[in-house]
Amino acid sequence: MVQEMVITLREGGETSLILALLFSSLKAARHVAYRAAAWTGFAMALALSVAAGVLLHDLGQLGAIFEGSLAWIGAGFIASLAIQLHQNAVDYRSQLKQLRDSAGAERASWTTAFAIGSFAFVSVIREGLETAVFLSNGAGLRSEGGWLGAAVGLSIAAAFGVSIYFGFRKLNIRSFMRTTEVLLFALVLSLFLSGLHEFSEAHLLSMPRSLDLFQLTWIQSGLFLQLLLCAGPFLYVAMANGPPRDYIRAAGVAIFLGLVPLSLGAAARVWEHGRLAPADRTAAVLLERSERTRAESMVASLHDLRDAVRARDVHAARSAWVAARCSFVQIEPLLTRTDREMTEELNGEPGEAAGYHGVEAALFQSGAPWARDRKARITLEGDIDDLLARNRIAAAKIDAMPLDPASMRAAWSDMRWTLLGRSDGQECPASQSSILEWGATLDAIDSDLGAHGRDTAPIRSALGAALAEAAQGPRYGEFLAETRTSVGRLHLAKPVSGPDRVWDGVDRAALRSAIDETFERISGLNPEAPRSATTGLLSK
Amino acid sequence: MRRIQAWLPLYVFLLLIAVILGVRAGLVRQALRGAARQPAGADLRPGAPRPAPDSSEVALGRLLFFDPILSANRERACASCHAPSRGLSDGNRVAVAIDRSALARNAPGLTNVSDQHAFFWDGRAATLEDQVDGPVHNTRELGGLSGREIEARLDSITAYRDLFARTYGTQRPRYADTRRAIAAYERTFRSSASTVDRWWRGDLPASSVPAGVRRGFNLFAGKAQCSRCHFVPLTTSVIPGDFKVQEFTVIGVPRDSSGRSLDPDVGRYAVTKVEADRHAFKAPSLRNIAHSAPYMHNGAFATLDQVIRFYNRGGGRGLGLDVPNQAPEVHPLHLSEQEERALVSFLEALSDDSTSVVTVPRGVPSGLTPGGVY
Repeated sequence: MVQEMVITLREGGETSLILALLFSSLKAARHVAYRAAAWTGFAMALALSVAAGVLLHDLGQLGAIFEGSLAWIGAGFIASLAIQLHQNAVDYRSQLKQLRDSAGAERASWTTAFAIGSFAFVSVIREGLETAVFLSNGAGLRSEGGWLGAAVGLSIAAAFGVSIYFGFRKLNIRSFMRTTEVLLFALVLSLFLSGLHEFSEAHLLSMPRSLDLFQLTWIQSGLFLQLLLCAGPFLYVAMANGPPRDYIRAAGVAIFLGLVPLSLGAAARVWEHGRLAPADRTAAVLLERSERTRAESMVASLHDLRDAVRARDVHAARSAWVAARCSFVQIEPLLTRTDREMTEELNGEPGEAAGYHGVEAALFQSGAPWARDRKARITLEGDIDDLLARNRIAAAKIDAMPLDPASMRAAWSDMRWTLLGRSDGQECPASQSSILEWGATLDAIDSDLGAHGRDTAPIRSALGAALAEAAQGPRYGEFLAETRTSVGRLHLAKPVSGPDRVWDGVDRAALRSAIDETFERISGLNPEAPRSATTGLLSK
Repeated sequence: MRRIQAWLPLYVFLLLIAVILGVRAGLVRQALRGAARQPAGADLRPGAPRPAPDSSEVALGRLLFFDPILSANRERACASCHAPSRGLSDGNRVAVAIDRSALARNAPGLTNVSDQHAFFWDGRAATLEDQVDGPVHNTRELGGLSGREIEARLDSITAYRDLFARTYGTQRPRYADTRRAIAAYERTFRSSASTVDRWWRGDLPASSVPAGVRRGFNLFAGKAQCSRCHFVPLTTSVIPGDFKVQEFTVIGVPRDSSGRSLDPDVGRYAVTKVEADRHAFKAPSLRNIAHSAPYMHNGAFATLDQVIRFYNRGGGRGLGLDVPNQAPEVHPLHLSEQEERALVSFLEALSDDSTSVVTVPRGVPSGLTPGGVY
C-alpha cells in the first residue's frame, strides 16, 4: 500500500501543481470554452492512462522515447506558459480587471482553447501513463490494499492542487505569479533533464556524465521537486516583501510540506502492519530492519569503494566492490519487484549503463591500470559516483517499503529465472566474486525465509567446493571479460585478462537442478521437492 | 506575432524532438514494433502458458508456407529456404535468390523460432508476422509482390478463398491474415524431445546421458562461455529473468572459413545505427543445430567443429582480424581437442527428430509444386 501511495503521490503531485496553476489562470479569463478545453484534455489523458495501464505492461524502449518526448513537450508548454505569465504580470491586476470586464463580450479563441486542452493533456499523460504502467507492472497493485494506497496518494495529490487553486484568491497575485514563474522555470529545467535522461536511455542521445549525475541525484530522486515545494513559500514572502513573521509562517508551511510524505508513509506502514497476524507483524519489523541494513551497508560499501579508488588502494577497492555487490544481491528481489528497470540499470546489463558490472570490469582489470593512470581513474570515479547515486535512490526505495513474510517469499520466488541465468557462474567473472555473490544470496534466502538452511541446502551442496574455497578468503583474481556489456560503454581500450577458474569444478547440470528444487520449495510448489524435480526447466 | 512568440519554447522543443527522432528513425521504428508486440503476450518464460494454436489457422499457414504462390515467378516458397529435410534451413552457405544468384545471408533454421523477440540475423523484425514481410516483399528473395498482388492471387483460387473465409470469416483473403497464418504455422516448429531436453526435464537419468554430452554442457555453461549468449534453456539470446530482451553480439565472423578477412556485413548496425552494433548479429536458437549446417549469418563454417574451433581461437580477433568492438566475452578459450569434441556432442544432443513431423503437403491449392522448384 505504501509503495502504491508513494508512486501516485509523487507522480500526481507535480501534475496537480501544474494543473492548479493552469486552472487558477483560467479563473481570470472566465471563458467557459477554455475551462472546458482544459477539462477535456485532463479527462482524455486520464482515460488514456488508465487504458494504457490495463493494456500495456511494458513499453520497453518505446517507454523511454515516449517519456522523453512528453517531458520535452511538457517543458515547452510550461516555458511558454511562464513566458506568458511574465508578459502579463507587468500589470496583472489591471489586466485581470480588464479581462473580467471584457470576458462576456470577447469571443474565445479556438487556437488558445486547443493549446490549453493540449497543455492539460500533456501534463496529465506525462505522469499518468508512467504511473499506470508502473502500477500495473512494477508494483503491480498485487499487495493487499494496493488500490487503496494508490487512491490515497492520488487524493492527497489532488487535494494539494485544489488547495492551491482555492488559495489563489487569497494570495498577493503579483507575488504569487512571480513565484510561480520561478517555480515553472525550475520545472522546465527538471523536465528538460528528465527528457535528456530518457532519450539517453533509448540510445537516441548521449548525456554528459555530470548532467546525468545531477539528474539522478536531484531530479529522479524527487529531491528537486521537494526542494522547490519547500522553497515556494519563502520565495512568495520575499516577492511580497513580507514582514519577518511571514518568513516564520513560510517556514511552518515548508516544514509541513516536507513532513507530509514522511508522516503519510509512517502512517501507512503502521496500517499495513496492523493488518498482519501478530507473529507476522514481528517478522515484518525484523525483515524491514534487515533490508534497510543491507541497503545502508551497500551504500556505505560504495562510499568505501570511492575512497579506496581515490587512494589508489586496489585491494581495498575490490573488497569494497564485492561487499557492495553482495549487499545488492540481497536486496535485489525487492528492488526488482519495485522497479525492474532501475534494477537492470544497477546491474549494468546488457550494456545499458555502467552499473555494478561496468564498474567491476574496470576495477578488476588486469594490473588495475586505474591505479596508475589518472584518466582511467577519473572515468572509474565517475562510474562509481553514478552507481552511488542510483544506489542511494534504491536504498530510499527499500527504506519506504513495508514488508511481510508473504511478500518476501513472493519476491524471492520471482528470482528463480534470474538465478538460473547466473548458474553459469559468468555473471561476475571477476574472480570469485560470483561465488561470493551466491553465498550472500543463499544467506539472504535463509535469513528472510527462515527455513534454517533447508531451502538452500541443495544449492549449497551443488556449489560445495567452490563455496568452501571462496569462504577461505577473497583472492580477487583478475578477469578476462565483462559479461554482456559493450566495450564502448565501459571506456575500455581493450578487454581485460586473467580469468579465475573457481567455477570450473561446479557441475552445472546439478546446480540447475538444485536451483529448481530450492525454488520449488520457496514458491511452495513442492515443499519436499526431491532432487530429480526439474520441471519447468523447459518450455514445451 | 505576439502569440507565436509566446509559444516559441514549445515549438523549439517540438523541433528538437523531431530532429532527435528523425536522426535515429531505425531505433524509433524498432521501439514502436517492440511495444506493439508486448500486448500480444510474447511471454518467453519457460513454463509460461502459450496460447494454443488455432488448428485451422495453422493448417492454412502450412499450405501458404509450402505454396510458391507467394513468389513472383511461382517457383519459390518459404519452404525453399526452410526445408524440413534440412533442419528448416536450406543447406546452402547463403540463401538462393529468385534469380538463382546468392543472397547475402544464410537462411536460418526455424526450429523453436518463436523463442525469440527479434527476427532475421539483424533482428529488424519484432514479430514473426513482421518477419513474413521481409522475404515476400524483397525483390531478390520471393520477387517483391505487394500485399494487394498476393491478395489478388489468393482470391483467384477458390480453395484459398474458402480456407480464409473459414479461418478468418472474411469474404476474400487478406494479406494481413496471410502473415498471421504463416506465423502461426512457424510457431509450431518446436523441439523438446532431444536427449538434453529429456535430461534437463528429469525424464532421462544423468547416467543414461553420454558422458561427453554431460561434459559438453558443463563446458557450454562454464569454461566455453557459450551460455553467455545462448542462454539456457531457450538457447537463444533472450536474457533469462523476465525473458523480455534479446541481445546482439559482435563475434567477428570472417568472410569465409579461411578467416583471412572480416565479413563486411554490418548486421545490427543497419537497424540501429549505433556504432557498438556494427557487425553485431543475433545468437540464434541452438535447437536442431546439428541439422541446419552451414553456420553463422554468412554460412562461413560448414561444420560444428569449425564453429567451436573459431570460438576457441577467440572469434574474429583470435584470427587476427581487426574487430574493435568484438564482445569481450569472445576470447581464446584454451579448450583441448577433447573439450571441443564434448561441446560438439552436447550441441548434437540438442537435436531431435522434430522436423520430421514437418511434412511437405502432397499438394497446395495453387496447383504449383509444394516447396517450390528450386
